[in-house]
Amino acid sequence: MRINELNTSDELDAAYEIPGVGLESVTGVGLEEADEGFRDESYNQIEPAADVQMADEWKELLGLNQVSQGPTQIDPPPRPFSFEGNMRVSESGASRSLRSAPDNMGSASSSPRVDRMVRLLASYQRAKNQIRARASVGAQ
Amino acid sequence: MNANPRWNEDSAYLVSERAYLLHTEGHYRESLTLFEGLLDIYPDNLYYRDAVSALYLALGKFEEAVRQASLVIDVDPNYINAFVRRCEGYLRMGMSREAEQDLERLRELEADGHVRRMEMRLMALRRTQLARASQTP
Repeated sequence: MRINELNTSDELDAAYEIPGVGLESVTGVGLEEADEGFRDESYNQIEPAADVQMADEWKELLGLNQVSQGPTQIDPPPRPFSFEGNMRVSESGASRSLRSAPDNMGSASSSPRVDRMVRLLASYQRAKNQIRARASVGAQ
Repeated sequence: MNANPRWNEDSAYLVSERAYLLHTEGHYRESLTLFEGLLDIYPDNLYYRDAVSALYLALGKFEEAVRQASLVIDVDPNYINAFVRRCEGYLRMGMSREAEQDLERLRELEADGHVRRMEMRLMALRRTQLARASQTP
C-alpha cells in the first residue's frame, strides 16, 4: 500500500497498491495488447492463460497456504474494569501519562527489563512526535 | 501485584494492547520486550506470562517457552493455552513423552481443536523419531 499524502485534516488522499498484483501480472499481457486480441477472437478461442497463473497465486495472496501459528498466537489483553471510557473520544489519564513522559515510568529501583520496555515505549513516542511535527509542517 | 507504583492497570493495559498489536504484526522481539517489562511489574499476571511463553515459542526458544508455560500451569492447572504452548515446546524439543502427558491433560480439559492438532503433531514427531532410529546402525 502506498499513501500519497498524509495530513491532519479529515480528508486522507491515499492510493492503494496490492503488492505483487498488477493487471499485467494477472493477464500476462498489457491491457491494450489484450484488447487487440479480444477483438477478432470468439470467447472460447481465447487461451485461459490468466486462470492457469491465478490458480496458485490467489491462495498465496490470501495467505491460505500459510501454516496456522496456533500455539504462538495470543488473545487480546483483557480490558481492566477501571479503564477510562472511550479512548477515541477523550484521551485517558493513562495514555496522557504514557504520551507525556514514558521515560519517567521507569525508576532506579525498576528491573532492567522494565527499563528496556520504557526505552522502547519512549522510542515509539519520539517517532510519533516526529511524524506529527512533519505532518503539521506539511499542512502549513 | 504491582511492584512499581508509577504504573496502574490502565497504563499497563495500554502497553499490553501495543504489545499484542506488535505480536499480530510479527514483531515478536519488540512485543516480548513490552510483555517482559509488564511481567516484572505484575509478576502474578497470567496473561502476560502466557504471552511471554507464546513469544518465546515464536522466537524458537523452546526451553524458556516451556518454563514460562509451566509457571502458568502451576498457578492455574486449567489454563488451556499454557498446556498447548508447553506441549508444542516439548514437541519442538523432541520430548514426546512429556508432550503426550500435556496432550492427555488437554483431552481432560476437552480442548478438542487443540487435541486434534497436537495429536497430529505428536504422530509426525514419533514417525520422524522412528525413522531416525531405524537409520541408526
